[in-house]
Amino acid sequence: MKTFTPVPRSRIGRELGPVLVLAIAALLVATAAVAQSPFALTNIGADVRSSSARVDGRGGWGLAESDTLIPSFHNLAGLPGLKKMAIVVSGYAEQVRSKDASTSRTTNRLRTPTLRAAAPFADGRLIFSAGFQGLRGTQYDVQRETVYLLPAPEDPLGADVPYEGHETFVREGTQFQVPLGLSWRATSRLSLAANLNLVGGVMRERVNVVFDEPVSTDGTQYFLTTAETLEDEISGQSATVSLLVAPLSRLSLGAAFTPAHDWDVTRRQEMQGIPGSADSEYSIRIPELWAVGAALALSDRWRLGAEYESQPFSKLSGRADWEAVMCDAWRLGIGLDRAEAFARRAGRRNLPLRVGYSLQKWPYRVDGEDILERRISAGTGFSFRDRSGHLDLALSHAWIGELGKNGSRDRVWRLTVSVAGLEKWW
Amino acid sequence: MFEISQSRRRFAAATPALALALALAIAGCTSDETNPVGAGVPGELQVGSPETVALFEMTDRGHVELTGEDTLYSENQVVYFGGSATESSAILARYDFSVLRDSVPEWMTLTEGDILAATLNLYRLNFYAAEDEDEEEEETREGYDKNFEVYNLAGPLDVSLYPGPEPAYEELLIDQMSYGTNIYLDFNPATIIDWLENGHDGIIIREGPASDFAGLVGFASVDLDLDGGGVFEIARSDTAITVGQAISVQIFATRGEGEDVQTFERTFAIPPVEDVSTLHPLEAPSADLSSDVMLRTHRRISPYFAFAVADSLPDGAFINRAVIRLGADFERSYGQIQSLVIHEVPLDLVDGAASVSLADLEESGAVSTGQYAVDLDGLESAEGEWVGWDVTSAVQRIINGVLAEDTVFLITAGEDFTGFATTSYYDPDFYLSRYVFHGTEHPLLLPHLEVTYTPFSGGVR
Repeated sequence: MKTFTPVPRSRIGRELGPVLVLAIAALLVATAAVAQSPFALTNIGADVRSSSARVDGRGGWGLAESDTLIPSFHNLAGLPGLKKMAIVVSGYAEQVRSKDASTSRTTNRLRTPTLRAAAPFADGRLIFSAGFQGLRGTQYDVQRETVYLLPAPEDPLGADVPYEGHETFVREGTQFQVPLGLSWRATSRLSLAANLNLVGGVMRERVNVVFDEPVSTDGTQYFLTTAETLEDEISGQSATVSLLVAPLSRLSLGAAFTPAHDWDVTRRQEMQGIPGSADSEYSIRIPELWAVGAALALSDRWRLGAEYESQPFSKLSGRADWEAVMCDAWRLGIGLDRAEAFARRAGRRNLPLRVGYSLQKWPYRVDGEDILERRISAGTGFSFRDRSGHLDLALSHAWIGELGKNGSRDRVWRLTVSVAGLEKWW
Repeated sequence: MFEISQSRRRFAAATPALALALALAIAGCTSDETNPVGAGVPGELQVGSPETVALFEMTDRGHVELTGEDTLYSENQVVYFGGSATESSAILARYDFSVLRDSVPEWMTLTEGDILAATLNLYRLNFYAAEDEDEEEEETREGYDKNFEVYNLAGPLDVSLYPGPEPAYEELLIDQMSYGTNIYLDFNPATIIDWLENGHDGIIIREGPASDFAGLVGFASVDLDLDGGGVFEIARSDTAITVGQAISVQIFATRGEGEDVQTFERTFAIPPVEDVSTLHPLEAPSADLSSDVMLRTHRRISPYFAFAVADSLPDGAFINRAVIRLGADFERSYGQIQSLVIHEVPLDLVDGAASVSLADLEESGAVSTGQYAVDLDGLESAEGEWVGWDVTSAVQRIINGVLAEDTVFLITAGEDFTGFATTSYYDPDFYLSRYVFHGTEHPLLLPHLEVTYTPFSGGVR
């Protein structure tokens, strides 16, 4: 096997440092953007999970994978074998073109759903991992014109007069988890993992009612704007167990299971201009999540993989207003992955190549109809000079919902960028 | 051993930079403005609809006198003439004619025949004037005359007695119909000679029975501050250097014959030494605001009131707009343009008090809101009936429980400390103006607090 010339440690920092700094900067500025599918304006929100650009590029499969050059946290059971400490940052930029029966809107956003780290022990047979993983999110605002019947200033005791106004609704927030995991290679063909997920997050809704008319002589609105916020602060715990098994040399299988668990929610509702808040608490029972996947090596470099995930959200409880529209969510992904090569003078033929397709059913209905998300994707990447890390890219296009069924639909372009760094830490 | 080529090194450096630049570019793209896309997806938070209520019930109400003015009543810059529905006023003035005797030559003994004309000049304040641009037309318009009667006072004028009833008066000196921005009333020259020879106690200028229309009209007093801007308050068609009820005496005298003839020709403008308007009687407002809500300047009276806000609105309501509205009683109002200011004051400051000093009001109260330069005359011509004050903030504080429960609203003019004072010639110290609004017994234009609010959708806090 060919190897790169070792590079001095200080030089590694110079090569990798600017990329990491830029990556983090790009992902940090993401939070200000307000955009997403309007389908996320309700219920539990959109699925924002994204393990890495490598997984995104090939249709979302990764349970049946163990790669020590490009560590994947998609299945923690795939981490054993890691020789160096690994850090992965992954995020995506997204452009969403939403359309309903009368108009359309294009929005852009950045999101950083993944920040993970893993440290090997016992010569790589035991891995401890931790990090941050976005689960679900909402970020969208909508405005609609309204008419209010209010008294005319010049005839205050007369009949109410229709005045134009508008109402702005904003929903934003993220549910995330901090997974603390242990992975263990039981045998050369079997690895097991378990992780404890500390779940947190917030979901915030805000409504502003602006009375555009009448206008005072100084140009200000005659009636003050009404504003209310509703904020749910979420906390909870879940556990995930997973395994990775290679029954054949060319075939590997993976599975993960997260039992049903509770989210404890502290609710606070406030109105602008009045003190205090209406506070309450409730719990949501999140149904179990299970996933299975397989990867088959077609040649030295090409692999075919598939993955199926299911979460019966119809069993969700604790939110009566959601329960009526919940349905069982699932995701099916399939794709091809050509591994990176390091042949001399091979040029772009050395590059990894990934293509994939995924079909996902959202966990709730809008307009009484299921929401289906179809996505095609492609990706590539490259190793850093001394294989001290990897940068991956994935570009995907998704079709979400149908105008005739759901009242609106989305067309989504997503560019996922992830950076994996490998370094000895001892 | 394998060495990475130079070309790959460039590629390795360029690709991440390109990818990150692309990510940043997309992140920097500006999303479309918010629009109705998504409006069909129901959010959980549903804000209540705004509602409007008119509160008529008052918990506390009354009038209170305000004291502490710096200017005497007799130093008002306006004197009132005529009669309104409830009040009348005559102008009282006293003159010093010694200047006239001292100003003619020694050879001249002033006689009735030497006085060509003696004219009493009155300058109506612009506020009471007809439209200036139509002045000539107004001057000749029939049916707009006031009947001016001038009498000698029976005794010396004592301005400290006013406002008050008309003093006793004697013979009629002038009975004349006139209207316009400048009024010229002609004395018989014998009257001037009589005052010179027998002394002068003062005159009364009162409205006679032949006036074409009722109403108080304000004229410049001798104290009108010409240097302080008062000159802009009057329109005058002469070049006299005095204001107030000056008497112009035109003298032309000759003595001797042939080469010994001596001639004297001059016009003297003699301003009053003091003047005052009677304003009799000064109408007292209703104690409980039942028949009127009155604001008076100079001899200050202010109305105060509170509405049953807390009992009428739900807890936790957001006040979109709250307006105190009073219906103007044009028939009983007169006076200068004034700012009208709402104060928040503790009830015990005004309840049962005979009077409250301006200093105590400034110290114990708080200015809530106000309207600059309210022109009731303009309001009437615009067919407006309501005068309103935006008290949204105050009502929200009542709902929020942070405004003391015993707080009442009190109305004043634009006193200096309110921040709503306009110009010196609207100073409530100088002008006795009366703004009357309909009381709680009026069938239609009742004083009320109009509140548009949005109930909190979150229930109990």
